[in-house]
Amino acid sequence: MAEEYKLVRRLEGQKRLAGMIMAHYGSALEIEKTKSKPIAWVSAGTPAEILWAMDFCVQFPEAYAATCGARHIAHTHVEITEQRGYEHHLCTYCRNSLGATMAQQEGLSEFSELARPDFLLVSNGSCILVTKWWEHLSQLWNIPLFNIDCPLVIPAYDTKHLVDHVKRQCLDLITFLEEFTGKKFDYDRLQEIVANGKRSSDYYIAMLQANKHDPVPATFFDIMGHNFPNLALRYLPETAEHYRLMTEELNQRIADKIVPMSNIKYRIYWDGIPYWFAIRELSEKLESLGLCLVTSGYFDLFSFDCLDPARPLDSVAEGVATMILNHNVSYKAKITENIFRDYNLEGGIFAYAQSCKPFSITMRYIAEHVQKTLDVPVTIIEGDLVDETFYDGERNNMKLQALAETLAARKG
Amino acid sequence: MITAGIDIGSTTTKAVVLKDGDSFSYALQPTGIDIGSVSRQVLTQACEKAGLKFEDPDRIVATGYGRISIPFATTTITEITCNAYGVHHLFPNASLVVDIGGQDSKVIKIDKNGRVIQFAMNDKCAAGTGKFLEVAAQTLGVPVSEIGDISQQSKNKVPISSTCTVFAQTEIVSLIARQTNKEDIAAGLHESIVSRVFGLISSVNPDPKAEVVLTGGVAKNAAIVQLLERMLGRKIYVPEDPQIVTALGAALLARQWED
Repeated sequence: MAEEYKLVRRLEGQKRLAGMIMAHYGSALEIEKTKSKPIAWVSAGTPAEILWAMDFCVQFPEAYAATCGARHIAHTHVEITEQRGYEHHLCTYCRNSLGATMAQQEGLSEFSELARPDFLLVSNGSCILVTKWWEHLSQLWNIPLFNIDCPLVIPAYDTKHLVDHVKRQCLDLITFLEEFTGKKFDYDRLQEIVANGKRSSDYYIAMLQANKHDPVPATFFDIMGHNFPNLALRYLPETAEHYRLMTEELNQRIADKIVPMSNIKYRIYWDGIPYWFAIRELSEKLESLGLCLVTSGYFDLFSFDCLDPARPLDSVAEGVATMILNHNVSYKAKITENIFRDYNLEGGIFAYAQSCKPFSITMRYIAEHVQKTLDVPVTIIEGDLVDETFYDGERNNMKLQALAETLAARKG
Repeated sequence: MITAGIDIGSTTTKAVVLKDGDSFSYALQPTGIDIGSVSRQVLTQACEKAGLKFEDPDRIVATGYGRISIPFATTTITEITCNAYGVHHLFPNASLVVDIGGQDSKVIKIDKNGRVIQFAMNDKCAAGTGKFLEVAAQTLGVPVSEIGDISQQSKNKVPISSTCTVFAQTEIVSLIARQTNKEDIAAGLHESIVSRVFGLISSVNPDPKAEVVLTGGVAKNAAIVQLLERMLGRKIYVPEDPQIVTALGAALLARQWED
């Protein structure tokens, strides 16, 4: 790294983000106490806009699991689940969620809980197992579950049929919720929420694109926590403001020649869900090797770029039907290739998650595709979302060092 | 210039001392639990074989799992890069390396200069590694050095369905209880390892005409070499001492290290 760059690791926006997350979980617990709103637990890739428009408090158990992983408390929930005979290779987000639920119901919780749900919404667009996980939650909480079916997006088929299929289910959901809450659905409120989501997503994408600059103003690990507001809080006008300020901050860092790590040698892609418990360890290792994580396909899950206030319900249905994880592997490989080109990336780290087969199963193909098409070295490391027992730090460190050595040899 | 490479593997520690990048001497010992003193001893032995003292190497590259625990190393380089350079030095036309060590199996695609193009490794599980053979040999009550020859005497190979080392051990015990010949069990075990390694090879999409070199302790097992040759449909080259190739690569790379 040239002398003229200044190292500042922490982003100003981190403090604001922490406040938003704390307020989200805290206010939900307050709502649980006062019963002022119905509470829904939803999976990724569901039409949360419909729930927000019905004034639900919406909670995301997958995001909660990631938080538990990052705080090194997931193992407590996972142990509770396994002690009750659930299998070790089951998705760890699921094990965390079931364990946390059981702890909550039996008064065993040692950590902050998710506010208790009144209603569950799931979709199979992001993952197949998640529908069974939610079914189990429905049985544990004894509350209704609504399932949105998203057939795989296949290029030969007209996407319009898929979107119509999801839209019909969204209308059924609205009918169901009207009965459940005794309130009429407010389409004007939906439009307002979609408009907020659109503004938030536009700024979110602008924030991500700041990393096209070389050197980057922030690493992937610095920015990934900022996925949360666009997932869980995009219905609020202040979320767009958060991303506007983030974009401004990153662009200012570029102008001020501020870099996020001391040893930037190679621009690297990250594929897969982060190993939440190992971020610090991985960051230190990557910095020592000069591997700078620039961006990731993981961001696509949080971009909500379909939202359009001119056609609120249609655009919500389109976003759900065509989310990236619901696409075929060739499409995902092409998208990944485009990210490599757009961000001028020199190598890739593919983070295989032992307990998340739906996400990991196509990883080898995508890694091979970019390696062959773009002639860039890649490595597949192994671990898990929140289960630390699947993580072999030494083996992963060796693979990362070998990637750095391969890049160095190429530069000659 | 005198350089040295020291490869601290999970089972064996190997040292190679190189004079002017040409003639070399080497030594090896079981790794055990005291990596620091074993690596010092092995390097001393390799130096003595070359008529040198421990202090004589100008640069030392440490590699393998214990590479970060060697205080006298000039630097560390991964076993992937070192192995590729070692193989290229011995077999300049090789473009695919299969390395089966104590707890790792690796497949490395290399270019015409010995640089790594792509690599793949087994996962955390010990299936398809030397450890699998070691545990199986123990369960069968035969020395690990003889299990390859024993397997080649099989007339009616028994498939081993477990790739997990622990489950395979249970499977062997139940086969012994059913009075299955140890030769037939050994043949099944060898096939299980090779098919696991074959999967790893496929994952890097090798050139069908690639010259393949097998290294690591398991390369000393003739039955593995033969099975792999059959599966790949081509000759597999094995260095005279396949265990020291990574340490040799480390010693060669030490020459290129800029102080």
